[in-house]
Amino acid sequence: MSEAIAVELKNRLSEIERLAHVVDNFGRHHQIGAHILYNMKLALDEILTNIISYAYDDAGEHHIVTRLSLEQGKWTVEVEDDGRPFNPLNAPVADTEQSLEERRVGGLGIHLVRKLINELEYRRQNDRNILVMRLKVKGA
Amino acid sequence: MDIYEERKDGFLVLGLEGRLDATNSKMFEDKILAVIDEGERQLVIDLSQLNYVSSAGLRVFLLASKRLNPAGGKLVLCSLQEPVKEVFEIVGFFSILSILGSRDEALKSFR
Repeated sequence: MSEAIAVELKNRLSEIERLAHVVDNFGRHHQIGAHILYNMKLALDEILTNIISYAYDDAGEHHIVTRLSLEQGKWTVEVEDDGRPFNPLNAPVADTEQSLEERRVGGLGIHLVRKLINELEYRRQNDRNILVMRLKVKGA
Repeated sequence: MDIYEERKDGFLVLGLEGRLDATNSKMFEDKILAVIDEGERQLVIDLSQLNYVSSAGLRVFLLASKRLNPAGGKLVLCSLQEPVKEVFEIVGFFSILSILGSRDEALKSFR
């Protein structure tokens, strides 16, 4: 593995933009293209917004760990949280074929993540959710 | 994100600047539902200065269109930046919302 960094976030929405700056720096350092960078930041935003908004039954402080690494042309981003079990790989998503009248207003976030990310893996381990997202990176 | 408000040819134009995400989507939702409640029926949302949108923001466009259409109104979005356009494509918004290239085209569509 060439280089890996870990970022610890609190369960507050304002933390997402802070992470986005770290991701930008990581991307710049490794010459990751703007398009790939945008997609990963959006996917992370969607996943973290879900965790922070819905994963916790209490109002207390929780820590979410995000790890970024780059290896053999693949950018791997892992998100680990101690919220209630949630597997984004089999969560219901919006049906984008429906008419405006039929459409529900929710479910777009997970749909975006599945479309933006090349490979997704989920596991529940030691009472924690671990989501792994991978994007192909040219020339890395 | 900042929201600016202009009246052009009698129609209300709301412009969004910056990032629309879960931290500010409620403010945008409150604003747009308020102008609809005040009786605006033809609305333009200018996205030329919006460089980022997440699903929290996307749902507000859906919500406002769902609210306006049965009331005989129309919401038109215009001037999407490329990354925002891509997100709109992924969620299938081009087939259910009115999206035009420029503010002029948006205003013309009301005549």
